[in-house]
Amino acid sequence: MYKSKILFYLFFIFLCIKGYSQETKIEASFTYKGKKAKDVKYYLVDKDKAYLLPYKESKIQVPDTISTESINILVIHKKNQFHVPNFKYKEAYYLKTYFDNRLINNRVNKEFGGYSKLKYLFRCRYLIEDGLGYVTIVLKNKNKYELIN
Amino acid sequence: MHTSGTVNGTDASGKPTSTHAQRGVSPADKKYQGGLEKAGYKATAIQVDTYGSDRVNIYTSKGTTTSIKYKNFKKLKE
Repeated sequence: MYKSKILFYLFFIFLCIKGYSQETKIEASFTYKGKKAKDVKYYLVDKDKAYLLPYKESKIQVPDTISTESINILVIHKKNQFHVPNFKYKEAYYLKTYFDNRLINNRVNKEFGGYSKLKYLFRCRYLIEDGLGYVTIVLKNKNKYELIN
Repeated sequence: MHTSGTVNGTDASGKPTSTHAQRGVSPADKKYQGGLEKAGYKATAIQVDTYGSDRVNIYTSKGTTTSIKYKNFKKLKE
């Protein structure tokens, strides 16, 4: 009897702690030339420093200590490095990012066309989609940050 | 409803960025429509895709029902 009561209390405490935690988890992916890339790292940018965001089961975790409405995320995958500016992590449905510079079979142009292709012909451009109905185009970022893992 | 223009800005490092409307029906559009349906509006939403493709999307909170070209949509009569 006592064991079951203790188990019940422990379970109740576990539910309370889990309910209190306000950590936001957002599905995040980076599609490189039509294929989902692995080993992508997402950092939270604060001036010259970039703090690694935990990434588990295709989801990034934004800590509950952040109180701002939007955050700046730095995405790094091999030689690809770009910013996700003013990412509204509380409202966004997901964070999908794309890169494709192929002339033939370019899926990014097919899905997100409408922008000037000449403008970005010789530039590394990345597309960001958050499910809120807008697509943001950013350029490759060569700035060096102090990466804190 | 989305703006059909492009909004230019900068990222945290000062690099130029541009934002424009996404093609088709986004999850946010479906959620908004879901809110209207809960409030009692049993209508189907019509979205004129003004950026990238000249299409008109007809959708509910569950997804796009159909999509037709804007020039054909203008020809529709009773």
